[in-house]
Amino acid sequence: MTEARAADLVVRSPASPLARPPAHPRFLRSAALRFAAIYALLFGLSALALALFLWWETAGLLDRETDQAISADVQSLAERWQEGGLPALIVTIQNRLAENVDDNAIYLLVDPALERIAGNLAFWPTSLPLNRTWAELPIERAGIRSLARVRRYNLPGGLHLLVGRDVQVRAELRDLLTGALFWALLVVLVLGLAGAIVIRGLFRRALANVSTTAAAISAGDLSQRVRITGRGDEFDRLSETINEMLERISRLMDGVRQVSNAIAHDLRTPITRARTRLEDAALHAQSEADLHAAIERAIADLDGVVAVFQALLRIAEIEAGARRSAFASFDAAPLLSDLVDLYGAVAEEKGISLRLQSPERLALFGDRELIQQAIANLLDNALKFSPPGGVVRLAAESASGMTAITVADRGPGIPPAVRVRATERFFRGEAARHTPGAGLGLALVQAVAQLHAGSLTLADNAPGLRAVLRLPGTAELAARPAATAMDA
Amino acid sequence: MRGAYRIGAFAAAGAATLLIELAVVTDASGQSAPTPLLTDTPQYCAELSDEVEEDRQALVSPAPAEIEQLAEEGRQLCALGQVRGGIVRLRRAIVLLLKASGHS
Amino acid sequence: MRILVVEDDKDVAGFVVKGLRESGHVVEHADNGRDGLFLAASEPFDAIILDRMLPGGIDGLRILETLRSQRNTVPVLFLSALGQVDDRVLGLKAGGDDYLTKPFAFAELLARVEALTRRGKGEGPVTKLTVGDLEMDLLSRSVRRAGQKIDLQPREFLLLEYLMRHAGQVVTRTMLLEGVWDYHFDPQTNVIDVHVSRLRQKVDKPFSSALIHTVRNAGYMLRTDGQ
Repeated sequence: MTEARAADLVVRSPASPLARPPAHPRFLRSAALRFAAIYALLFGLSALALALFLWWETAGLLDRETDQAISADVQSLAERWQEGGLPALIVTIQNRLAENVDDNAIYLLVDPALERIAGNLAFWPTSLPLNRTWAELPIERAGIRSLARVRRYNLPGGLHLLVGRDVQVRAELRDLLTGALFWALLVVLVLGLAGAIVIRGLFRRALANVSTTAAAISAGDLSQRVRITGRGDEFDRLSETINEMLERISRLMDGVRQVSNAIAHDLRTPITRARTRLEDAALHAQSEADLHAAIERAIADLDGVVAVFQALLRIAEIEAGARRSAFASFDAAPLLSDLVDLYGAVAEEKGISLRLQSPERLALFGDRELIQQAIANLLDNALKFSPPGGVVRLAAESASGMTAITVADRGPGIPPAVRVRATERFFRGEAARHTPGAGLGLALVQAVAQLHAGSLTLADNAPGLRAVLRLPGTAELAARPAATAMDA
Repeated sequence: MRGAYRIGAFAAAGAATLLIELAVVTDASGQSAPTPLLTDTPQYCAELSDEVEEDRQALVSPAPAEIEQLAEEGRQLCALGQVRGGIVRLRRAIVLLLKASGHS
Repeated sequence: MRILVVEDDKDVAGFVVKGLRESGHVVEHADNGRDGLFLAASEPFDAIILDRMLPGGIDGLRILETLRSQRNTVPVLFLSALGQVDDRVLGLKAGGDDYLTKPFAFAELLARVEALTRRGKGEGPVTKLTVGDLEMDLLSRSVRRAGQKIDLQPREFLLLEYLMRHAGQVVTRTMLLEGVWDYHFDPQTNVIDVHVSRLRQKVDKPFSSALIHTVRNAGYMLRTDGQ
């Protein structure tokens, strides 16, 4: 039932008003029919070629042999006439007839008035056209009809010579062959049509599978997948590709849904808070100072919203890959020490020891500003979650062109179960529940890593988190196009 | 798809050629009144019989028994009305006689 | 100071113009690129606040390019809703002096404009900065207050130098981050506050009066109490 429906779909879909092809007859718009027609055509064509070949090799061959024999006969008679004149020719004809064991020779020599001089044909056949050299001639042998193939030859002096062979047996064979070939062609036609119908069915069935799935998906059911037959053929491979594509689409859609949900939730909270503050102040503020205080707090809330938006936009901008034009080679060692200098004060304030372990020179290729921000985000996280008295290590090392920058803390870390999700936008671990932030820090680091064809790995520092940012040290390594963030 | 249409055209042309050929062949056989052949007659039988006789007498040595038998069979068949069969045997006899005389 | 505001958004323009006037500046306003370019080219201003996106075919970048091609060196602060890094770089490359992304706090805008006009005056190379009893020798890279030598880390020296160069002006956290650390993004934690408080420990704590003041909702200001 579904198959029939799907087949209908296949036939109808190209006729949709949007994609109407120029001017093919309606039935040609079905690919299944077209393939079937091509199959039938090819089949018929090969059968026809075979029939023509058979004909050429049997009936055709016999005809050609007869014609050659007649021509040779005419040739030798003409020579005889030249050597010995009319009497010699007459004797030769009589001798040939007498010695014609095959009983198939036909000769006729006539004078200019078409009166018989010699030969075994009773009279010059009236039906014989004068302009034709070769002819098929009906003859009568002892009351029985037969067929002769004759050649006419004009001798000087107005004499006409007719040389031929009785080809009745050959004609019968030819008729037999003709009949056989005719029926064979009929059979071929039937077989071709049957084959075409089978092909059309197979084609439709193979497509029906894809087509029903596609129809269901366009109707909104993204969970549908194309059935794999397990034969591993081209259709299976197509189905697999389509399924992979669907998988990716649904993953992307999940991502989009999750992000928009998160945006809705994470931005709703501060906006609601700001709104409540303002309304509360408008209704209950006792003094101008109260009012100002409420407004200022609302502004701070809104600033938070703006900050989240900007972070989101920045991640989107990085993921779009537009910034690859700003890539350059630079030494990252001063960048790291500057960062340690910037965050060292914060660490010290919190009683955390921030340690840097970096070679003299650290070659990196990429967007300096983005890399700086990514490492800053990692440090920011590490300091945020590190307990007082803890140690945060920033280490860098280069190996085979890639540079690994590690930020390790001794905080609560991220449980392995959710570590994969930690780089998603708005992800906030259990430990981050009570710290400020929107959950966009690691998402940005991830985006930067991917823009540079690098990677971000989160591992257990037992205890704590060890984040390793791997970036290319040379232009060659950064050359391959960045994968999108969803592949993580 | 264009190629398929072109192949189709070729196929149609091929089929047409074959059909025309068949039509011509069948057409030529049975149209006007047939011309009678003179070598299927008892007269010709007699002519050949005489020729066999002449050729045999022209031989230096007596003719082989095989030829004699063929000629005899031919004459008998002609007499019975089996003209074509008789003529074939007589012709064979003539050919063999010619060989025997070293003519051909 | 005479300041030209070229901004098409009525609310933003009104807010900025009002704020600048309240701070004691003379403000002209144009709400499209054509008028903006005409005003900027025909009248002298101490600073121009220029929106990147303007109606009327002439956008902020075009105005700036035209002015600079006429050797007009008036300091220009770009205002833009395009927060992308490339846009900032593009704006600065075209000859802009500063760049601020919408939405912004007025305090930030005011601080930056005032910093611009100071820069625009072109004092020439200075070797010594003095604010009250605080002295900074840029050549020997030494700092003294009330004759007493203060030991500073290199970065602390840069921070103090920035504050001293903008003495009497509000300096926002982002300005410090950009001017001292050359960072162009917002760190989530209050890194600047920590650095300023460490600087205070050295510059203010041992002395009777404070020079580094916190300006609420804006940033910091280095000034003597008398100022």
